[in-house]
Amino acid sequence: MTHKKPQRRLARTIRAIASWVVALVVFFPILWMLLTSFKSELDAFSMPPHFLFKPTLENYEQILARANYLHYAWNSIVTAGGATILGMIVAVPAAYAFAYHPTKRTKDVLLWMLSTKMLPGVGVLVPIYLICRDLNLLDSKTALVVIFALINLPIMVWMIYTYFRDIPYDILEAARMDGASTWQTMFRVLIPVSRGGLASTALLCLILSWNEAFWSLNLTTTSAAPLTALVASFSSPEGLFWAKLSAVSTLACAPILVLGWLSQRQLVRGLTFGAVK
Amino acid sequence: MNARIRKRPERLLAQPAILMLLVWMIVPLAMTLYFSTQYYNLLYPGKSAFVGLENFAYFFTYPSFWASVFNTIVLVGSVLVITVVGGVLVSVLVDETFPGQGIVRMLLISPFFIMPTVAALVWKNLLMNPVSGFLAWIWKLFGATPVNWFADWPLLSVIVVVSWEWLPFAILIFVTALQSLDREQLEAARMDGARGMAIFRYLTLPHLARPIAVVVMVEAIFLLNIFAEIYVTTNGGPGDATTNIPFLVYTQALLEFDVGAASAGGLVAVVLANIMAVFLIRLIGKSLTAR
Amino acid sequence: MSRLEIRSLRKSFEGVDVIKGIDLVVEDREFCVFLGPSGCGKSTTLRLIAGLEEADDGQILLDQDDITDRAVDKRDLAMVFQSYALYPHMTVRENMSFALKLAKMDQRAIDEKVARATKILALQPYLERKPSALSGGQRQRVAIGRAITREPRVFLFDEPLSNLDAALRAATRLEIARLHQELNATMIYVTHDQVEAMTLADRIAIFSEGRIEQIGKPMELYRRPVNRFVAGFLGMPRMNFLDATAEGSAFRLRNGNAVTVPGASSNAGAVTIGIRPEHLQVCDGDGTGETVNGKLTVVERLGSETYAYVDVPQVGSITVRADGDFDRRAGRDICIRLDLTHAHLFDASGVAIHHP
Repeated sequence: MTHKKPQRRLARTIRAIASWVVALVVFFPILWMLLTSFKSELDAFSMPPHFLFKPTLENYEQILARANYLHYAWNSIVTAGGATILGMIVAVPAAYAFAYHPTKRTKDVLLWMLSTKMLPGVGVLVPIYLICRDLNLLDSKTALVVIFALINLPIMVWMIYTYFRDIPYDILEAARMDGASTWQTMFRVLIPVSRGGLASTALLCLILSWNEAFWSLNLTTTSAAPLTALVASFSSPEGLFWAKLSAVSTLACAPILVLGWLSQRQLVRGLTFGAVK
Repeated sequence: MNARIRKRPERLLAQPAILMLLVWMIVPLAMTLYFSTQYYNLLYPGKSAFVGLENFAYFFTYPSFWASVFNTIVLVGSVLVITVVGGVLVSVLVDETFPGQGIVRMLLISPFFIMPTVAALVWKNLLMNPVSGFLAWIWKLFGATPVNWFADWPLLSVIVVVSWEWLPFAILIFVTALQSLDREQLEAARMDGARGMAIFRYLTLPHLARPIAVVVMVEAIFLLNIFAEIYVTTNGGPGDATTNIPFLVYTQALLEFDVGAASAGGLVAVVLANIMAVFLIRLIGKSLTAR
Repeated sequence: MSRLEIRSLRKSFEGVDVIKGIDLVVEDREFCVFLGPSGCGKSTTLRLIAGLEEADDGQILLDQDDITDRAVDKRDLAMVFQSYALYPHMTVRENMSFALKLAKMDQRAIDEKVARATKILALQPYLERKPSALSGGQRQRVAIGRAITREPRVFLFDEPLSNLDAALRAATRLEIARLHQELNATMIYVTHDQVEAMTLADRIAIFSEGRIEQIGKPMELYRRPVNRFVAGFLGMPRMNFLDATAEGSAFRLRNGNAVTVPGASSNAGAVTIGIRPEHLQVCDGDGTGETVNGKLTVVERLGSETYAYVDVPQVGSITVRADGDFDRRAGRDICIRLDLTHAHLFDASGVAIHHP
């Protein structure tokens, strides 16, 4: 029995090292991108790769000045934020109705909502494109806000629904007995009590909208193009561009990455439609 | 005595959401259905005419169509296998506490939050470029000739990129699920004499069965619609080597302006997705709504 | 005045009749207990009164005011929930002021009422705490405090003691009794515990399967139960029931013994004799009177008294109450004196036909 201890210790150490190695390998592309953003274009393109180099901020300066990064960032903020707000306004009452006043059809409706998420964007690309064109909404932030809200609505409704079901119903009954109307119950009791879950839902919608790369590429050209499109424009540039690409990418991804780190546990529920908590 | 009139205004609260999704789903789909039977080219809008199922025939006989179906299946299938198998292995690996476990988790899930366009371009240029990419350097270190990834192995390259993006998702889900694995059950199994492999086979895997099913379902939904990564790297090429169904429809609609054919293609994509959805919803639906 | 009247109340869930026609009057300032086993409909009736469920048929009148169709928030009733249902994101003070704020009362009046409730329930040290920082007993007091500040027309209690441990339960029972005296308000209290019912109630309504079996003062129900169900529900340990056949003025037990019940005679055929453990005695050896023999199976010594469970062949198990210093051992034979002066008689359908 005594010689098991060093054996276990060795196994644990190997596991720990292996974990770190895997993690660093997986994270490496991001790390490399970050490093490259601080290199000059020559340094970035050199072979063998320069691990030690003189860092420079010139890429970031150029991005902010010439490539008009702020314009695209603003579009991302407005479309992702707008979609989240619109989505929450519609999803919270719906989840309330499903959670606390279910009918026999509620389960079917919820599953139907799930299936609309499975609708491939290409299936409706043509009509949506034509509708936007006719309504003069091509290359508009409004169209993106509405579309982003719609494609994330099923996840949001499901996520909030599962959070509401975790709240004991008699707290809401107590509020009603205290004299609160339905709206007052929702705003003064239900929402404050579930604010953690609501925040996670909003965060998930924000992340998914920010990273959305189908409608944002196909329905915008310049004025409403978000950061996904700005990055995509680097796919066929002239000359050396790796460092600038890295700088743009870092700026585009950093906020979402941080948000994702902070809320990773809570996101699981939404990403799995409540199946895994 | 008198009967009561039941008033349930609260139920109406769900109507906006339901209505919006209904419109979102039905109107465009109806339009797609309509267009698929028309000859309608955006360059010649005046020349629209009803052509029945000709668009479908055209689409099905379009040389790239079967290639795109094949590519879609290969893409979705490979990524699913890689992410699920990899995800299970990695999540089991990091399940024990060790110094820096929190940071390791953060590192592992990072790729999921990276924009698809960023992921694709970083891989294509900084890593996979045959001249100055990082992988080229690694290959040279071992004395081999660097691989020209996107030129020689386009579909594989796309698979690598997409797998890198989605592996963290599987890891995140499985790591969270493993945390709810009953520790007492583990201890009982150990006392019964079970060691590593046995524990994995008889405790861990069954516990992960449902999360695996959910991961497969959610990933399939998104993987069937992979677009951006192809758009910024290969544009479907060379030829149609990396064209999947969404990309094919896109080229028809927005590059060749053939709305009729694009609509037919879109419907095909919808039908495929629905077939998957029916299976998956039946598999998952019960467990999602169970109390 | 806060007099509650219920007429012909009916309610069904998914086709099953849960409340089958309830008629009841709770007088002003009365403490009325709804007592019964689980599933009997007592909680449902309470929720119908509160408005948390809608009645299918019947009327609920509060001081001649028909509130049957009125919304929950407009009935001026307060409920103490079984799980307390405190608002987790509010402090104790905010929990107690919530209803008053909704009613747009001015702050000074709110503070007064909260102070009064705080004093009555000794909640002063907890006012700024949130529910998660309170123990079960403290939360329960806050739940009651929340109801008190509203000064409702009727207080509704839904099994408030069932989540407390035994010692706390006894202490809180006394507090509720004191509360009723101090507030002098109409209270309706639901429980399955007959000790709570007997000690707290002005009147008890015993529920069974969606109907009220009997309403009356506790001792009335105890001494003159209207049927076998009520007789068996009140009293701990339970009343002994002996099957017998009526033969005029004698009753033949299943083991052939013939016994008499003073003052009762019947030709009703099959009857049940009911006699409480405290009205039976162990034979003191002088062989007088009607007796029956059996084996002592279990002895429960409580210190102040002892309960002896005797297995009598062909008759069944009979429980006898004895003194605290009863010293016979289990497993031995024992003789019971069947003095049936205090026995009740029930006919074949369970209805009482004779009381002592």
